[in-house]
Amino acid sequence: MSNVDTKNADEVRNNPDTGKDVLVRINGNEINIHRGSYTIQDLKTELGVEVHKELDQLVDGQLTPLADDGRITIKGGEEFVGHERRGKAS
Amino acid sequence: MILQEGQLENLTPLCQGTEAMAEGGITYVYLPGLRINQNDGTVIVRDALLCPMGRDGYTTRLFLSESIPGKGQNWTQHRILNRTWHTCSVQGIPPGRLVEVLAEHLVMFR
Repeated sequence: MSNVDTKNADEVRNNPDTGKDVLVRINGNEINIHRGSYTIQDLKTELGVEVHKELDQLVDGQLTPLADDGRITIKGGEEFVGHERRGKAS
Repeated sequence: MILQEGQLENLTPLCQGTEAMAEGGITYVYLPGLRINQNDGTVIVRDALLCPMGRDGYTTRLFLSESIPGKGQNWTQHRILNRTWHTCSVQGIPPGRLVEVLAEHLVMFR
């Protein structure tokens, strides 16, 4: 029986679980999603991010945007930030 | 302004020394050594000060220890918390969850 629910995202990143659901973080909140390959659009849906929003992945302390037409493989422990893109230079 | 519990913690993966600092009735979020990803793959590092509330007619603002050449428009300097900070003119990023507000501002510097 998977005990992924009792782990935090840091523990999952360092010790990949063998269960089908893994822990990831979106805007600071931990959620369980199915491990595997996603289109970015499908990942947004899975993470509860509105499709018009930009999705960044937090890697090595920096935010890296994920292209809407890209794919990503979720293993567990990944961290994401979903956000609007409203700022206008003035 | 009182920051909601956990909001600073959510910024920790982006910046280890994150802390709230107040001046003139405004609570700023200090982000030392913030790494800003560029579209060409390079990374720029700046100390940053996020103002997550209205100031100077802007709904939120992000101040940096130095400007970023070629990015943003109308850079100005401001004295905040005994330090000089640089910011460009960006409208339309409203208050909200800190990590999302910061991410929206960082888009302007890619």
